[in-house]
Amino acid sequence: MSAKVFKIRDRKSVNDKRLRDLSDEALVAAAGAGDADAVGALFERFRDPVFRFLTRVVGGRPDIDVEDLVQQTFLVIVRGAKFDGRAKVSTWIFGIAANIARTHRRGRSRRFRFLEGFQSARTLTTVDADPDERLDVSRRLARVKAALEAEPLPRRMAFVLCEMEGMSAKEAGAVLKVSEAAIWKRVSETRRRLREAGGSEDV
Amino acid sequence: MSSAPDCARTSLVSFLKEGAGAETSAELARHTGTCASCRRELDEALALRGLVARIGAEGMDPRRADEMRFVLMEGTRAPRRSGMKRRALTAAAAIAFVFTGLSGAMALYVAVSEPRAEEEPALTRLKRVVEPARPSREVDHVEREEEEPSPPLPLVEGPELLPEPPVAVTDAPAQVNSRATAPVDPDAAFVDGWRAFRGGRYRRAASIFDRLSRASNIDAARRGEVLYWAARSHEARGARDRAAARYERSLRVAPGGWWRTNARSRLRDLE
Repeated sequence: MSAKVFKIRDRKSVNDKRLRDLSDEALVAAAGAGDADAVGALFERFRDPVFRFLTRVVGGRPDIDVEDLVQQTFLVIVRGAKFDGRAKVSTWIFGIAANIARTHRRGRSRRFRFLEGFQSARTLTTVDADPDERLDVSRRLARVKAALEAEPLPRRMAFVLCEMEGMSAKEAGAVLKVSEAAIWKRVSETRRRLREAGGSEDV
Repeated sequence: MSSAPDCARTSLVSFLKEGAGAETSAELARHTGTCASCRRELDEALALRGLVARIGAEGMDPRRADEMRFVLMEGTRAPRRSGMKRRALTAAAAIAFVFTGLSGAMALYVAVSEPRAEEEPALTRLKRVVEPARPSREVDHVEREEEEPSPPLPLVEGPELLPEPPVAVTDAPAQVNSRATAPVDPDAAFVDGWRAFRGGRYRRAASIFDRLSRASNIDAARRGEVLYWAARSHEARGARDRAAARYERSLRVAPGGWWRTNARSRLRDLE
């Protein structure tokens, strides 16, 4: 068959186009079936959202390798995690990433977590050392960032998913395996704390 | 009224997301006009939204992403292919035993048991196994390759040489050499090495990564990553001892790195 005669370059470009046109669900199915190109395409499609999510949830600390957590997330998929189709693919992948973040956090000793909490609080204190100074945007951002990092992981993840990744409460609940009401409670509480940390001026 | 705040909160999220419908927005505007707490929550959310969007907004470094994608794809591809090849070779060994006896079957069996080298054809592995006199010549060949002039690494005008980190060198002097070299442009050199690796020019890639690993102006984390790719390049060429030495050193030198999982796994396969 003449259709079988391809230049490698042509076959690759046809394959790339085919993968780009696939839906998320079809791509996950192909990746789950062992299609390496589909795995690559899935990674390309979701690597930045996963990286941003993990950076926002666990990043900001020099001892945490967010890239390693990204790899662990996609390794779970490569090694055969099953997508059951009940939620969106992005929700499923974020759920895996959230589990990775939780597992990573649980793996660290309580002593270090205490020290990190102390450091985060100290950062806030340092930033607030001069309350008379007029706050500019960069200082507010630093406060808000420090306050976000000081939030407990469950609240931080709910806030990041809803307020920063743009998910609905229902989707975030599916990712974190909690109810919509719990998501709202966590988001509201975190929002209140961040507002207090950053001041009430409009951006 | 108890359901109104819940509806308003759901609408609040929709309103804050891009693409909220006109009906939802109108409903929210009506509600927040009368409900102080929801109005306050909406104002807070809007004020924070622009600020928090700046936190961690950058995506992955494209080069790292390219490397990670490559490793993930080969991790998907290799086990399946090696599984199929193993089954095929096992069947061929059985047939060979019938026709050629034990020696032919053993040769194929050993080929099945060999840890896979990246992109080394099965025929090459088989040749390496059935011709036991070859290994020393192969080592000589590898060493001669090392003596050939390597492509120069991009240099930078830079600071004085930094002291070499005190890492024990456990392999042969010609292999992982701890002597510091002149400062290089690490990013440009890495790109050269990465292109060579992806293009299948493993000797060139190994040479570039080896030299870059000895550069004085890269930190421990980067050095570890470079050693990992040097090891990958040597492994792809079939220089298993050199690859193992570099995997070991990369894990020793670098405090962390996404590549460590793969380095540990490959070192286990080589040992």
